[in-house]
Amino acid sequence: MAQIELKNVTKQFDDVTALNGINLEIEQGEIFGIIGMSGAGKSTLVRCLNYLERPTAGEVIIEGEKLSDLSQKELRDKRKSIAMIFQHFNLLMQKNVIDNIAFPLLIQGVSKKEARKKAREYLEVVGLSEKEKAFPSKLSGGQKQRVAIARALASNPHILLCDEATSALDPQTTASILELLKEINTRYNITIVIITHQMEVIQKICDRVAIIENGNLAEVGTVIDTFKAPKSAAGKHLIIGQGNVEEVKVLTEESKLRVVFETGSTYEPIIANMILYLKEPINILYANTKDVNGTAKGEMVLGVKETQKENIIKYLQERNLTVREVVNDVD
Amino acid sequence: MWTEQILQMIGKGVLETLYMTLVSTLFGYVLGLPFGIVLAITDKNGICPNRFIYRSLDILANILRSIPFLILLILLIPFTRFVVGKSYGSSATIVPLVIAAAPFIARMIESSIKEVDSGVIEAAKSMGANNFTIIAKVLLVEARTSILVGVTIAIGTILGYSAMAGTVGGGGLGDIAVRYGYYRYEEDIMIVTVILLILLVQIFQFVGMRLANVVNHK
Repeated sequence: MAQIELKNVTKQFDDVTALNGINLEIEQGEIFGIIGMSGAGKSTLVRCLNYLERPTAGEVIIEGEKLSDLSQKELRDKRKSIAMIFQHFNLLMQKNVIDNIAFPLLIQGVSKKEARKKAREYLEVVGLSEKEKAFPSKLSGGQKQRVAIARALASNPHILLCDEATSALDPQTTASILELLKEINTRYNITIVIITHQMEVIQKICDRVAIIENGNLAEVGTVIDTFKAPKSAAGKHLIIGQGNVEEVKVLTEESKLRVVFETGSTYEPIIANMILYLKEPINILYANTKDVNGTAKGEMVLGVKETQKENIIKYLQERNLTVREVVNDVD
Repeated sequence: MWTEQILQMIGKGVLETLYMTLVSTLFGYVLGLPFGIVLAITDKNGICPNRFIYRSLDILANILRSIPFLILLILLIPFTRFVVGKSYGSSATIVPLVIAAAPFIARMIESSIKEVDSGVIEAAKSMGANNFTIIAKVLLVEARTSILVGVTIAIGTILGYSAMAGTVGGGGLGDIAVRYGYYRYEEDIMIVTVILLILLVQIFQFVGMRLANVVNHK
Protein backbone atom coordinates (compact mmCIF):
# COMPACT_ATOMS: atom_id res chain seq x y z
CA MET A 1 0.00 0.00 0.00
CA ALA A 2 1.27 3.41 -0.90
CA GLN A 3 2.12 5.78 1.96
CA ILE A 4 0.13 8.62 0.42
CA GLU A 5 -2.93 7.91 -1.68
CA LEU A 6 -5.11 10.48 -3.37
CA LYS A 7 -8.42 9.24 -4.68
CA ASN A 8 -10.31 11.51 -6.99
CA VAL A 9 -9.32 14.60 -4.97
CA THR A 10 -11.28 17.66 -6.06
CA LYS A 11 -11.15 21.15 -4.63
CA GLN A 12 -13.64 23.78 -5.60
CA PHE A 13 -13.24 27.45 -4.58
CA ASP A 14 -16.55 29.20 -5.25
CA ASP A 15 -16.70 28.92 -9.03
CA VAL A 16 -13.06 27.95 -9.61
CA THR A 17 -12.05 24.29 -9.76
CA ALA A 18 -8.53 24.25 -8.33
CA LEU A 19 -8.19 20.47 -8.44
CA ASN A 20 -10.16 18.16 -10.62
CA GLY A 21 -10.25 14.50 -9.59
CA ILE A 22 -6.59 13.87 -8.84
CA ASN A 23 -5.52 10.25 -8.35
CA LEU A 24 -2.01 9.72 -7.13
CA GLU A 25 0.05 7.26 -5.10
CA ILE A 26 3.29 8.17 -3.41
CA GLU A 27 5.47 5.43 -1.96
CA GLN A 28 7.28 5.47 1.34
CA GLY A 29 10.83 6.80 1.03
CA GLU A 30 10.62 8.34 -2.42
CA ILE A 31 11.21 11.93 -3.45
CA PHE A 32 8.15 12.84 -5.41
CA GLY A 33 7.91 16.00 -7.45
CA ILE A 34 4.76 17.86 -8.41
CA ILE A 35 5.34 20.41 -11.12
CA GLY A 36 3.07 22.85 -12.87
CA MET A 37 2.80 26.44 -13.97
CA SER A 38 1.70 28.94 -11.36
CA GLY A 39 -2.02 28.66 -10.85
CA ALA A 40 -2.05 25.01 -11.92
CA GLY A 41 -3.30 23.95 -8.49
CA LYS A 42 -0.12 22.39 -7.10
CA SER A 43 -0.08 24.50 -3.92
CA THR A 44 -3.68 23.54 -3.24
CA LEU A 45 -2.77 19.91 -3.89
CA VAL A 46 0.06 19.88 -1.35
CA ARG A 47 -2.21 21.54 1.23
CA CYS A 48 -4.72 18.75 0.72
CA LEU A 49 -2.06 16.27 1.84
CA ASN A 50 -2.17 17.63 5.40
CA TYR A 51 -5.72 18.97 5.18
CA LEU A 52 -4.72 22.61 5.50
CA GLU A 53 -7.16 22.63 2.61
CA ARG A 54 -10.06 20.21 2.79
CA PRO A 55 -10.88 18.67 -0.59
CA THR A 56 -14.48 19.22 -1.62
CA ALA A 57 -14.59 15.63 -2.89
CA GLY A 58 -12.37 12.57 -2.90
CA GLU A 59 -10.13 11.02 -0.29
CA VAL A 60 -6.63 11.64 1.01
CA ILE A 61 -5.27 8.51 2.66
CA ILE A 62 -2.03 8.77 4.61
CA GLU A 63 -0.52 5.55 5.91
CA GLY A 64 -3.87 3.85 5.59
CA GLU A 65 -5.84 6.53 7.42
CA LYS A 66 -8.49 8.54 5.62
CA LEU A 67 -7.97 12.14 6.69
CA SER A 68 -11.67 12.84 6.26
CA ASP A 69 -12.46 10.28 8.98
CA LEU A 70 -10.29 11.99 11.60
CA SER A 71 -11.61 14.32 14.29
CA GLN A 72 -10.00 17.75 14.66
CA LYS A 73 -7.77 16.45 17.41
CA GLU A 74 -6.77 13.30 15.53
CA LEU A 75 -6.02 15.45 12.49
CA ARG A 76 -3.73 17.69 14.56
CA ASP A 77 -1.93 14.60 15.83
CA LYS A 78 -1.62 13.26 12.31
CA ARG A 79 -0.08 16.54 11.17
CA LYS A 80 2.76 16.03 13.61
CA SER A 81 4.05 13.27 11.36
CA ILE A 82 3.66 15.37 8.20
CA ALA A 83 6.09 18.30 8.29
CA MET A 84 6.02 21.15 5.84
CA ILE A 85 8.42 23.82 4.59
CA PHE A 86 7.45 26.90 2.63
CA GLN A 87 8.62 29.32 -0.05
CA HIS A 88 8.83 32.20 2.41
CA PHE A 89 10.17 30.02 5.25
CA ASN A 90 7.46 31.15 7.72
CA LEU A 91 9.72 31.28 10.74
CA LEU A 92 8.64 33.02 13.94
CA MET A 93 10.35 36.39 13.60
CA GLN A 94 10.31 37.11 17.34
CA LYS A 95 11.95 33.82 18.32
CA ASN A 96 15.58 32.93 17.83
CA VAL A 97 16.79 30.01 15.75
CA ILE A 98 16.87 27.43 18.52
CA ASP A 99 13.37 28.31 19.78
CA ASN A 100 12.01 28.20 16.24
CA ILE A 101 13.26 24.64 15.87
CA ALA A 102 12.03 23.71 19.35
CA PHE A 103 8.57 25.12 18.58
CA PRO A 104 6.92 21.99 17.12
CA LEU A 105 8.23 20.00 20.09
CA LEU A 106 6.71 22.48 22.53
CA ILE A 107 3.42 22.08 20.70
CA GLN A 108 3.72 18.35 21.32
CA GLY A 109 4.17 18.99 25.03
CA VAL A 110 7.91 18.30 25.26
CA SER A 111 9.61 20.28 28.06
CA LYS A 112 11.47 23.41 27.04
CA LYS A 113 14.85 22.00 28.07
CA GLU A 114 14.34 18.73 26.23
CA ALA A 115 13.01 20.55 23.16
CA ARG A 116 16.06 22.81 22.97
CA LYS A 117 18.37 19.83 23.32
CA LYS A 118 16.72 18.07 20.39
CA ALA A 119 16.62 21.32 18.44
CA ARG A 120 20.41 21.60 18.77
CA GLU A 121 20.83 18.15 17.23
CA TYR A 122 18.81 19.12 14.18
CA LEU A 123 20.52 22.47 13.92
CA GLU A 124 23.72 20.51 13.55
CA VAL A 125 22.19 18.33 10.83
CA VAL A 126 21.46 21.43 8.75
CA GLY A 127 24.91 22.85 9.52
CA LEU A 128 23.95 26.03 11.36
CA SER A 129 25.08 25.32 14.92
CA GLU A 130 26.81 28.69 15.26
CA LYS A 131 23.52 30.52 14.57
CA GLU A 132 21.69 29.07 17.56
CA LYS A 133 20.95 32.45 19.18
CA ALA A 134 20.44 34.47 16.00
CA PHE A 135 17.03 35.83 15.03
CA PRO A 136 15.61 34.99 11.60
CA SER A 137 15.86 38.60 10.41
CA LYS A 138 19.65 38.27 10.60
CA LEU A 139 19.80 35.16 8.40
CA SER A 140 20.08 34.79 4.62
CA GLY A 141 17.32 33.07 2.64
CA GLY A 142 19.24 29.81 2.45
CA GLN A 143 19.93 29.86 6.18
CA LYS A 144 16.28 30.55 6.93
CA GLN A 145 15.27 27.56 4.84
CA ARG A 146 17.81 25.41 6.69
CA VAL A 147 16.27 26.49 9.99
CA ALA A 148 12.83 25.67 8.57
CA ILE A 149 14.10 22.22 7.55
CA ALA A 150 15.54 21.63 11.03
CA ARG A 151 12.20 22.70 12.49
CA ALA A 152 10.42 20.26 10.18
CA LEU A 153 12.73 17.42 11.22
CA ALA A 154 12.33 18.14 14.93
CA SER A 155 8.94 16.44 15.12
CA ASN A 156 10.31 13.21 13.59
CA PRO A 157 8.01 13.30 10.57
CA HIS A 158 7.43 10.43 8.13
CA ILE A 159 6.61 12.84 5.35
CA LEU A 160 8.08 16.22 4.42
CA LEU A 161 6.05 18.50 2.18
CA CYS A 162 8.00 21.24 0.37
CA ASP A 163 5.91 24.05 -1.05
CA GLU A 164 8.10 25.93 -3.55
CA ALA A 165 10.85 25.63 -0.96
CA THR A 166 13.58 26.87 -3.30
CA SER A 167 11.64 29.40 -5.36
CA ALA A 168 12.83 32.38 -3.32
CA LEU A 169 16.48 31.28 -3.43
CA ASP A 170 19.30 31.86 -5.90
CA PRO A 171 20.52 28.88 -8.00
CA GLN A 172 23.52 28.09 -5.81
CA THR A 173 21.53 28.15 -2.59
CA THR A 174 18.81 26.12 -4.31
CA ALA A 175 21.38 23.45 -5.15
CA SER A 176 22.63 23.26 -1.55
CA ILE A 177 19.10 23.07 -0.14
CA LEU A 178 18.23 20.29 -2.59
CA GLU A 179 21.36 18.42 -1.55
CA LEU A 180 20.30 18.74 2.08
CA LEU A 181 16.83 17.40 1.26
CA LYS A 182 18.33 14.44 -0.55
CA GLU A 183 20.58 13.75 2.43
CA ILE A 184 17.61 13.88 4.80
CA ASN A 185 15.66 11.54 2.57
CA THR A 186 18.47 8.97 2.67
CA ARG A 187 19.43 9.43 6.31
CA TYR A 188 15.97 9.42 7.90
CA ASN A 189 14.05 7.61 5.16
CA ILE A 190 11.52 10.44 5.06
CA THR A 191 9.21 10.62 2.07
CA ILE A 192 9.60 14.03 0.44
CA VAL A 193 6.94 15.66 -1.71
CA ILE A 194 8.24 18.66 -3.64
CA ILE A 195 6.01 21.25 -5.24
CA THR A 196 7.79 23.45 -7.74
CA HIS A 197 7.53 25.25 -11.04
CA GLN A 198 11.25 24.73 -11.68
CA MET A 199 12.11 21.70 -13.84
CA GLU A 200 15.72 21.82 -12.57
CA VAL A 201 14.51 21.02 -9.06
CA ILE A 202 12.64 17.95 -10.27
CA GLN A 203 15.56 16.81 -12.41
CA LYS A 204 18.02 17.22 -9.59
CA ILE A 205 16.48 15.14 -6.83
CA CYS A 206 13.10 13.63 -7.62
CA ASP A 207 12.50 9.95 -8.31
CA ARG A 208 9.07 10.41 -9.82
CA VAL A 209 7.15 13.41 -11.01
CA ALA A 210 3.52 14.38 -11.50
CA ILE A 211 2.65 17.17 -13.90
CA ILE A 212 -0.35 19.27 -12.98
CA GLU A 213 -2.14 21.51 -15.42
CA ASN A 214 -5.30 23.51 -14.79
CA GLY A 215 -6.17 21.37 -11.79
CA ASN A 216 -5.77 18.13 -13.74
CA LEU A 217 -3.11 15.49 -13.47
CA ALA A 218 -1.46 15.56 -16.90
CA GLU A 219 0.99 12.70 -16.38
CA VAL A 220 2.95 10.76 -13.75
CA GLY A 221 6.14 8.81 -14.23
CA THR A 222 9.76 8.42 -13.30
CA VAL A 223 11.72 11.59 -13.80
CA ILE A 224 14.00 9.88 -16.30
CA ASP A 225 11.16 8.60 -18.49
CA THR A 226 9.29 11.87 -18.28
CA PHE A 227 12.38 13.84 -19.18
CA LYS A 228 13.19 11.57 -22.11
CA ALA A 229 9.72 11.46 -23.55
CA PRO A 230 7.05 13.65 -21.97
CA LYS A 231 3.63 12.40 -23.03
CA SER A 232 1.28 15.24 -22.16
CA ALA A 233 1.14 18.68 -23.71
CA ALA A 234 1.90 20.23 -20.34
CA GLY A 235 4.88 17.89 -19.93
CA LYS A 236 6.22 18.79 -23.37
CA HIS A 237 5.81 22.43 -22.60
CA LEU A 238 7.66 22.14 -19.30
CA ILE A 239 10.46 19.90 -20.51
CA ILE A 240 11.02 20.54 -24.18
CA GLY A 241 9.63 24.02 -24.01
CA GLN A 242 12.28 25.12 -21.59
CA GLY A 243 14.36 27.68 -23.35
CA ASN A 244 14.40 26.17 -26.82
CA VAL A 245 10.92 26.26 -28.25
CA GLU A 246 11.33 29.90 -29.15
CA GLU A 247 14.52 29.24 -31.09
CA VAL A 248 13.02 26.21 -32.79
CA LYS A 249 10.07 28.25 -33.94
CA VAL A 250 12.06 30.76 -35.97
CA LEU A 251 13.82 28.17 -38.11
CA THR A 252 12.44 26.93 -41.45
CA GLU A 253 9.96 24.21 -42.31
CA GLU A 254 12.31 21.37 -41.44
CA SER A 255 11.20 18.58 -39.16
CA LYS A 256 12.55 18.85 -35.68
CA LEU A 257 13.76 15.88 -33.72
CA ARG A 258 14.64 15.89 -30.05
CA VAL A 259 17.33 13.42 -29.12
CA VAL A 260 18.24 12.52 -25.54
CA PHE A 261 21.70 11.10 -24.78
CA GLU A 262 22.42 9.30 -21.55
CA THR A 263 25.70 9.18 -19.71
CA GLY A 264 27.93 6.58 -21.25
CA SER A 265 25.32 5.74 -23.88
CA THR A 266 28.02 6.04 -26.49
CA TYR A 267 31.54 7.09 -27.17
CA GLU A 268 30.81 7.14 -30.86
CA PRO A 269 30.45 10.56 -32.49
CA ILE A 270 26.92 9.66 -33.52
CA ILE A 271 25.79 12.85 -35.19
CA ALA A 272 28.99 13.20 -37.21
CA ASN A 273 28.85 9.56 -38.33
CA MET A 274 25.18 9.90 -39.21
CA ILE A 275 25.90 12.87 -41.44
CA LEU A 276 28.66 10.93 -43.20
CA TYR A 277 26.45 7.87 -43.55
CA LEU A 278 23.34 9.64 -44.85
CA LYS A 279 25.28 12.25 -46.78
CA GLU A 280 22.73 14.81 -45.69
CA PRO A 281 23.37 18.01 -43.76
CA ILE A 282 21.75 18.33 -40.36
CA ASN A 283 20.99 21.48 -38.49
CA ILE A 284 21.66 21.45 -34.75
CA LEU A 285 19.05 23.85 -33.42
CA TYR A 286 19.64 23.41 -29.73
CA ALA A 287 21.88 21.38 -27.47
CA ASN A 288 22.24 21.21 -23.74
CA THR A 289 23.24 18.92 -20.92
CA LYS A 290 21.15 18.60 -17.83
CA ASP A 291 21.69 16.97 -14.50
CA VAL A 292 18.78 14.56 -14.08
CA ASN A 293 18.83 12.76 -10.76
CA GLY A 294 22.57 12.98 -10.53
CA THR A 295 23.32 11.68 -14.03
CA ALA A 296 24.09 13.90 -16.98
CA LYS A 297 21.60 13.83 -19.82
CA GLY A 298 22.39 15.37 -23.14
CA GLU A 299 19.56 16.94 -25.04
CA MET A 300 19.62 18.05 -28.67
CA VAL A 301 17.09 19.36 -31.13
CA LEU A 302 17.98 18.60 -34.76
CA GLY A 303 16.53 20.24 -37.82
CA VAL A 304 16.30 17.64 -40.58
CA LYS A 305 14.76 17.40 -44.03
CA GLU A 306 11.26 15.94 -44.03
CA THR A 307 12.38 13.27 -46.54
CA GLN A 308 15.23 12.13 -44.30
CA LYS A 309 13.23 12.14 -41.09
CA GLU A 310 12.37 8.42 -40.99
CA ASN A 311 15.94 7.35 -41.82
CA ILE A 312 17.38 9.54 -39.12
CA ILE A 313 14.97 8.36 -36.47
CA LYS A 314 15.80 4.78 -37.39
CA TYR A 315 19.55 5.47 -37.34
CA LEU A 316 19.41 7.10 -33.92
CA GLN A 317 17.07 4.54 -32.41
CA GLU A 318 19.37 1.74 -33.51
CA ARG A 319 21.95 3.40 -31.30
CA ASN A 320 19.57 3.32 -28.33
CA LEU A 321 18.88 7.00 -28.22
CA THR A 322 15.45 8.36 -27.38
CA VAL A 323 14.11 10.32 -30.34
CA ARG A 324 10.86 12.25 -30.55
CA GLU A 325 9.58 14.58 -33.18
CA VAL A 326 8.99 18.06 -31.85
CA VAL A 327 6.17 20.09 -33.26
CA ASN A 328 6.63 23.85 -33.19
CA ASP A 329 3.51 24.31 -31.27
CA VAL A 330 4.07 21.94 -28.39
CA ASP A 331 0.36 21.83 -27.64
CA MET B 1 0.42 82.18 45.57
CA TRP B 2 2.69 79.11 45.28
CA THR B 3 1.96 78.12 48.81
CA GLU B 4 2.89 74.72 50.10
CA GLN B 5 -0.78 73.87 50.02
CA ILE B 6 -1.00 74.46 46.29
CA LEU B 7 2.18 72.49 45.62
CA GLN B 8 0.82 69.61 47.67
CA MET B 9 -2.41 69.77 45.74
CA ILE B 10 -0.54 69.62 42.43
CA GLY B 11 1.59 66.73 43.69
CA LYS B 12 -1.57 64.88 44.70
CA GLY B 13 -3.02 65.68 41.28
CA VAL B 14 -0.06 64.07 39.54
CA LEU B 15 -0.42 60.93 41.65
CA GLU B 16 -4.16 60.77 41.05
CA THR B 17 -3.66 61.16 37.32
CA LEU B 18 -1.07 58.38 37.30
CA TYR B 19 -3.33 56.20 39.40
CA MET B 20 -6.34 56.70 37.13
CA THR B 21 -4.32 56.27 33.95
CA LEU B 22 -2.40 53.18 34.91
CA VAL B 23 -5.24 51.34 36.66
CA SER B 24 -7.63 52.16 33.80
CA THR B 25 -5.08 50.97 31.24
CA LEU B 26 -4.62 47.75 33.17
CA PHE B 27 -8.35 47.03 33.40
CA GLY B 28 -8.81 48.33 29.86
CA TYR B 29 -6.48 45.54 28.72
CA VAL B 30 -8.14 42.98 30.97
CA LEU B 31 -11.31 43.60 28.95
CA GLY B 32 -9.84 44.82 25.66
CA LEU B 33 -7.26 42.08 25.10
CA PRO B 34 -9.69 39.14 25.00
CA PHE B 35 -12.20 41.36 23.17
CA GLY B 36 -9.58 42.18 20.51
CA ILE B 37 -8.36 38.59 20.22
CA VAL B 38 -11.91 37.35 19.65
CA LEU B 39 -12.46 40.07 17.03
CA ALA B 40 -9.26 39.09 15.21
CA ILE B 41 -9.81 35.32 15.20
CA THR B 42 -13.51 35.33 14.35
CA ASP B 43 -13.10 37.63 11.35
CA LYS B 44 -13.45 35.87 8.00
CA ASN B 45 -9.70 35.43 7.56
CA GLY B 46 -9.10 34.57 11.21
CA ILE B 47 -8.25 31.14 12.60
CA CYS B 48 -11.84 30.36 13.62
CA PRO B 49 -14.16 32.54 11.56
CA ASN B 50 -17.58 33.12 13.08
CA ARG B 51 -19.71 35.71 11.37
CA PHE B 52 -22.23 36.05 14.18
CA ILE B 53 -19.71 36.61 16.97
CA TYR B 54 -17.60 38.94 14.85
CA ARG B 55 -20.55 41.10 13.78
CA SER B 56 -21.92 41.34 17.32
CA LEU B 57 -18.62 42.43 18.84
CA ASP B 58 -17.88 44.67 15.89
CA ILE B 59 -21.14 46.55 16.42
CA LEU B 60 -20.64 46.72 20.19
CA ALA B 61 -17.16 48.19 19.72
CA ASN B 62 -18.50 50.75 17.23
CA ILE B 63 -21.34 51.83 19.53
CA LEU B 64 -19.07 52.27 22.55
CA ARG B 65 -16.51 54.15 20.52
CA SER B 66 -19.01 56.52 19.01
CA ILE B 67 -20.27 57.86 22.35
CA PRO B 68 -18.27 60.98 23.28
CA PHE B 69 -16.32 60.32 26.47
CA LEU B 70 -17.91 63.14 28.42
CA ILE B 71 -21.39 61.80 27.64
CA LEU B 72 -20.33 58.26 28.53
CA LEU B 73 -19.05 59.59 31.83
CA ILE B 74 -22.46 61.02 32.66
CA LEU B 75 -24.41 58.06 31.26
CA LEU B 76 -22.41 55.69 33.42
CA ILE B 77 -22.93 57.57 36.70
CA PRO B 78 -25.48 55.09 38.10
CA PHE B 79 -23.27 52.18 37.12
CA THR B 80 -20.19 53.88 38.59
CA ARG B 81 -22.04 54.52 41.81
CA PHE B 82 -23.03 50.87 41.89
CA VAL B 83 -19.45 49.65 41.39
CA VAL B 84 -17.43 52.16 43.42
CA GLY B 85 -20.03 53.53 45.81
CA LYS B 86 -19.70 57.16 44.66
CA SER B 87 -19.65 59.00 41.36
CA TYR B 88 -16.85 61.54 41.88
CA GLY B 89 -13.13 61.30 42.60
CA SER B 90 -10.39 59.43 40.85
CA SER B 91 -11.49 55.88 41.72
CA ALA B 92 -14.93 56.58 40.32
CA THR B 93 -13.42 57.96 37.11
CA ILE B 94 -11.69 54.65 36.47
CA VAL B 95 -15.02 52.98 35.67
CA PRO B 96 -15.96 55.11 32.63
CA LEU B 97 -12.30 55.25 31.60
CA VAL B 98 -12.17 51.46 31.40
CA ILE B 99 -15.46 51.27 29.51
CA ALA B 100 -14.26 53.88 27.03
CA ALA B 101 -10.78 52.42 26.66
CA ALA B 102 -11.69 48.73 26.28
CA PRO B 103 -13.21 48.90 22.77
CA PHE B 104 -10.44 51.24 21.63
CA ILE B 105 -7.83 48.82 22.99
CA ALA B 106 -9.71 45.90 21.41
CA ARG B 107 -9.46 47.57 18.00
CA MET B 108 -5.73 48.08 18.40
CA ILE B 109 -5.24 44.46 19.50
CA GLU B 110 -7.34 43.30 16.55
CA SER B 111 -5.22 45.25 14.11
CA SER B 112 -1.93 44.13 15.72
CA ILE B 113 -2.95 40.48 15.46
CA LYS B 114 -4.10 40.86 11.88
CA GLU B 115 -0.62 42.10 10.97
CA VAL B 116 0.87 38.70 11.84
CA ASP B 117 2.08 36.94 8.69
CA SER B 118 -0.50 34.35 7.65
CA GLY B 119 2.32 32.06 6.55
CA VAL B 120 3.55 31.72 10.12
CA ILE B 121 0.03 30.80 11.25
CA GLU B 122 -0.17 28.24 8.46
CA ALA B 123 3.19 26.79 9.54
CA ALA B 124 1.93 26.44 13.11
CA LYS B 125 -1.23 24.71 11.85
CA SER B 126 0.86 22.34 9.75
CA MET B 127 2.71 21.35 12.94
CA GLY B 128 -0.57 20.36 14.55
CA ALA B 129 -0.96 23.41 16.81
CA ASN B 130 -4.46 23.98 18.18
CA ASN B 131 -6.10 27.42 18.18
CA PHE B 132 -5.19 28.15 21.77
CA THR B 133 -1.51 27.46 21.09
CA ILE B 134 -1.65 29.59 17.94
CA ILE B 135 -3.10 32.51 19.92
CA ALA B 136 -0.76 32.22 22.89
CA LYS B 137 2.48 31.23 21.17
CA VAL B 138 2.20 32.64 17.68
CA LEU B 139 -0.23 35.56 17.43
CA LEU B 140 0.53 37.32 20.72
CA VAL B 141 4.27 36.67 20.49
CA GLU B 142 4.65 37.78 16.88
CA ALA B 143 2.43 40.82 17.45
CA ARG B 144 4.01 41.89 20.73
CA THR B 145 5.92 44.90 19.36
CA SER B 146 2.80 46.25 17.73
CA ILE B 147 0.81 45.51 20.90
CA LEU B 148 3.33 47.44 23.01
CA VAL B 149 3.13 50.41 20.66
CA GLY B 150 -0.63 50.14 21.17
CA VAL B 151 -0.21 50.22 24.96
CA THR B 152 1.77 53.44 24.61
CA ILE B 153 -0.97 54.99 22.51
CA ALA B 154 -3.65 53.73 24.92
CA ILE B 155 -1.88 55.28 27.94
CA GLY B 156 -1.64 58.64 26.19
CA THR B 157 -5.30 58.57 25.21
CA ILE B 158 -6.50 57.44 28.65
CA LEU B 159 -4.42 60.16 30.28
CA GLY B 160 -6.18 62.69 28.08
CA TYR B 161 -9.59 61.24 28.95
CA SER B 162 -8.76 61.31 32.66
CA ALA B 163 -8.07 65.04 32.41
CA MET B 164 -11.43 65.47 30.70
CA ALA B 165 -13.08 63.71 33.63
CA GLY B 166 -11.80 66.61 35.72
CA THR B 167 -14.65 68.77 34.44
CA VAL B 168 -17.11 66.70 36.43
CA GLY B 169 -15.01 66.33 39.56
CA GLY B 170 -12.96 63.38 38.47
CA GLY B 171 -9.81 64.29 40.38
CA GLY B 172 -6.26 64.48 39.09
CA LEU B 173 -4.53 67.23 37.13
CA GLY B 174 -7.49 67.84 34.85
CA ASP B 175 -9.67 68.57 37.83
CA ILE B 176 -7.17 71.13 39.15
CA ALA B 177 -6.84 72.77 35.74
CA VAL B 178 -10.60 73.19 35.46
CA ARG B 179 -11.19 74.36 39.02
CA TYR B 180 -8.34 76.86 39.16
CA GLY B 181 -7.90 77.88 35.56
CA TYR B 182 -11.51 77.96 34.44
CA TYR B 183 -13.60 78.71 37.52
CA ARG B 184 -11.10 80.89 39.39
CA TYR B 185 -9.11 82.46 36.55
CA GLU B 186 -5.80 81.38 38.06
CA GLU B 187 -4.24 80.71 34.74
CA ASP B 188 -0.70 80.04 35.98
CA ILE B 189 -1.90 76.99 37.90
CA MET B 190 -3.69 75.78 34.81
CA ILE B 191 -0.55 76.23 32.73
CA VAL B 192 1.52 74.27 35.25
CA THR B 193 -0.95 71.39 35.21
CA VAL B 194 -0.98 71.37 31.42
CA ILE B 195 2.82 71.28 31.34
CA LEU B 196 2.77 68.38 33.79
CA LEU B 197 0.27 66.51 31.61
CA ILE B 198 2.50 67.06 28.58
CA LEU B 199 5.51 65.78 30.50
CA LEU B 200 3.64 62.66 31.59
CA VAL B 201 2.58 61.87 28.03
CA GLN B 202 6.16 62.39 26.83
CA ILE B 203 7.55 60.06 29.47
CA PHE B 204 5.06 57.29 28.72
CA GLN B 205 5.61 57.66 24.99
CA PHE B 206 9.38 57.53 25.36
CA VAL B 207 9.44 54.53 27.68
CA GLY B 208 6.80 52.67 25.64
CA MET B 209 8.57 53.09 22.32
CA ARG B 210 11.92 52.14 23.86
CA LEU B 211 10.41 48.98 25.26
CA ALA B 212 8.74 48.14 21.96
CA ASN B 213 12.08 48.45 20.17
CA VAL B 214 13.91 46.33 22.71
CA VAL B 215 11.55 43.38 22.28
CA ASN B 216 11.39 43.63 18.50
CA HIS B 217 13.56 41.20 16.52
CA LYS B 218 12.01 41.73 13.13
